Formats: sequence, structure tokens, C-alpha cells
Amino acid sequence: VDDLATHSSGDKHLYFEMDEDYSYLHDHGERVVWLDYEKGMWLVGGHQELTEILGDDETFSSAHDLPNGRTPFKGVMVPPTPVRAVPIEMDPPEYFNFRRALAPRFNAASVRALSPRIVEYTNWCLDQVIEAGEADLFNDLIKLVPAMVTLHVLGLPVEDAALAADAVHRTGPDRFHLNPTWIHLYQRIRAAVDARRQEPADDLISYLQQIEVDGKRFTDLHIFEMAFTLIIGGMSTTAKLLLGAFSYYGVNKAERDRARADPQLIAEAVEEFLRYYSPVSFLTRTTTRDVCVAGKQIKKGDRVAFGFAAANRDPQAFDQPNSICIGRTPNRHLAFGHGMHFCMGSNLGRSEAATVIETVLGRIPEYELVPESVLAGEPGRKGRWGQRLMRGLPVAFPPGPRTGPGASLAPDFRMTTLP
Amino acid sequence: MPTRWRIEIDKSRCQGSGVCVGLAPDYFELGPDQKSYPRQLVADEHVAAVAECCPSEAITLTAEDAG
Repeated sequence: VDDLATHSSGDKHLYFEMDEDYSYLHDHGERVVWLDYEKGMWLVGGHQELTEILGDDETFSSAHDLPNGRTPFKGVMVPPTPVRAVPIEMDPPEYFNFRRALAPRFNAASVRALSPRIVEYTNWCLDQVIEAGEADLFNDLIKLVPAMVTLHVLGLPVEDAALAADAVHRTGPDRFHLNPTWIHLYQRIRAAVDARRQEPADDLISYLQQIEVDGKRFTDLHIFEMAFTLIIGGMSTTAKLLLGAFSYYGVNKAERDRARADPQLIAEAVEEFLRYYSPVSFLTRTTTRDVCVAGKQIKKGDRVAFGFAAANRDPQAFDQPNSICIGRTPNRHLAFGHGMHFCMGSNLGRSEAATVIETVLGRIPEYELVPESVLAGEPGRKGRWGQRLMRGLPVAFPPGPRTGPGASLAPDFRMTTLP
Repeated sequence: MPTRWRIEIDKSRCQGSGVCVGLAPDYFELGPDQKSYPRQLVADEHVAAVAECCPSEAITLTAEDAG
């Protein structure tokens, strides 16, 4: 395992941090294709085409009519969620006041204020494994910290992070089905909404209860929908970004040393990880009229997947799109989307990723990937990086001392488990 | 007397997210450098609210008296 990135054995090629699935469209010279997926949908993967249609919210509606299937409008998630994701599944004019209300809670100053807490959550996760000298970096840390931060921002119990992370990282058609974890999380949101009505705190739920936009307050249902959206939008996204980052640094030791020596460099690395790993590989819309994109006739009512990950590998937009080039300039990636729905949490996601990377590299700078981490790919087609989510990220490192989490968490803090 | 606003965009902060262009296409457009440019020099209160939505906080509106 000297060089896991290029090691091959027999006809099985082993790849670590690379994934070329996202470049499939471009390898076949396609900009827009029809997919037999979830009753069929278009996938737009050309960077220029995607940028253009991201600016046409009238034709490509984000609306989500419940119950699912009542109309063609199924929102942006696949499979469609049982709760409307607000405000991402709204069109203007309704959308605008929600965006406007949320914006100050996700600006640079609000995000900066969270930074010490992100360090403390990361340190708590490291403390659980650092004496052992081995960890599954994904399940022991990467999936947990973004979940802890999201729950804290909302004002929900941080100890639910492991449960919530497992719920949001689940894939497949039943990922949003009402299972005991989702029921637990929905109950937590409802309980918090009720409790903050009596006694407001410094959290997003309290803020949304108090703020007036155009003289109106948000309903409990709207607040519930926004809390749900943060849970599905704030956890698996940053976690996938970090999974890519720590896979990359596990293989590219020179870049890891550079990042550790000068943490200021981490922000530009995060930017390239955003492009390359594109945590949200696509979101969908529903068309409100017949429209032609890159020569393909899209009918009114068709579902269209906005392929952010594919667009981020478009050779017409990026030189050497399948290489991770830290410091790439320009880097007009679409990892956060583009236009009025540009990711609400972009500042938080960027900052969270950089803070976690700096903290982890500070404490286990010489972690090594262990052979169980390696993915086997088919000959001629490199390993699918997404499989890493199933496999976790087992690493080994010289054991170190616990530091304690700091003031954010009680000394006996433990994650909730369901019976 | 209605308040009018002068639009200024800090190019060093603008990341070309397209939020302002999406919410107020009559007032903003992206240039070839992927930075936002005002299409009009003065704006109304709706545009002031759009400015609050910029994820880079790159848009400044300065109130000026109408006339």
C-alpha cells in the first residue's frame, strides 16, 4: 500500500481518491441525456447549459406539491421528500422572503462565530479514537461534525448527530421513509418549536419564530420545513466534501504537509474539493413549458436533473477536469449551484470544512489509509468514489493524548442511540 | 418622498453566485468576468432586500434623496 492511488493487482485496479463517474457524459460527448431513473428524467451536465438554465427559474420550477405524485412537481430531491424542503423547493415570489429571512444567519460573521464550536466538536470526535491509534475517519468524525453543527445551529440536541447522520447518508428509494430515526428527529423539531415559543434561545428556530418579514411571521409548519431542509442540506453535504478531502490527503502527502504547515492554503484546497467531489451531484427541477436544451426537446412537466458534479468535470469549462489541481484559477464550479437558489449554507460549509481539516491535520498529521479503505474498480473504469460512503475511511496513526472538547460539550457527552 | 438607493458592488467580494441576478434581473447582470454589475444606478426597496441575500455581502446600497 505504498501508493494506493495507482496500485493495481491483476485486472482489478485499485483507486483511492479518484472518481471518474462524473466525467461519463463528457467521455461520450454528451451535454444532456435521458436517464432511466425514478420514472425517467433528463440530466444536464454541460457547464454552460447548466449555468444558463439555473438562471431560468420560470421554466425550471423548484416547486414541490404534496402528497408526492399529485402533480408533476416533485421538488428538487430524488426520491421526493415527504416534507417540503423550504425554501429550496419554492419559486418566486414566495421564495424571496424566506431567503431574505435566513440570509443573516448564514453570513460570514455568523459563520465566524461558530468556528470555536466546530473545533471543539472535532476535538471531541478525535478524543474518542486518538488513544487507540486507529479510526474510521468517516463514521467516527466526518459524518458527525457537520451533523453536530447543523443541530446546534437549529437549536436541536447535538447528541442526536449520529442518528441524524445515518438517516441523511442513507441512499436508495426508502431513504426518507418514516423509520424510527426520522420519527425521532421530527419529534425533536416539534418539541423544540414548542419549547422556544415559551422560552426563546439563541438558535435558528427561535430566530425564525421572532422575525417578521413584510409584517408577517412564519408558521410552525414553515419552521418545521426549514428545519427539515437544514438537516437534509447541512449534514451529508459537508461530510461528503470532507470524505473527499481526507481521502485525497491520505494519498497526497505533500499537499497534506503543505496544508498543515500553512492552514491558510486550506481554503483554496476546499474550493477544488468542492469542484472535484461535488457533494450534491445533482438536484432536480420540473419544467413548466416545452424547452430545448443543447438540441434536446424537453417537454412540459418533464423532470430535469441539474448535474452539478458532471458540469464540474466539463472539459469545455475546466482544463484537466479529472485532476485535482489545488489553486486552480479560475474555478467557476457549480458545487453550490448558481442563481437565486445558490446554496444558503455556502459560507458555513466552506468554513466548516476548512476548520475540520485544520483541526484533524493538527492532531493526527500522519494518518495512513489502511488497506480496507481501498476500492476496487472495474478495468477501464476507475473506482466509484461514492462507494467510500459505504466503506467508511479506516485510518491508522500514532496514538496521542485526549485534549477534552472544551466548553461546548459536557464531560460526559454521549451520542443518542435508539432502542 | 420615496427613498432611492445607489448600487455599488465590491468586486473583490463578489463570487458570481448569481443570487442578485436571479432575484432582480432588471437590476443586476453577470459580466464576462463572472462578477455582478448593476444595470441601473438607482434601485428601489425591493433591490435593497435583494442585496441582503448576497452570500458574499458584496452589494452596498446608499440611500439618496429622490429628485
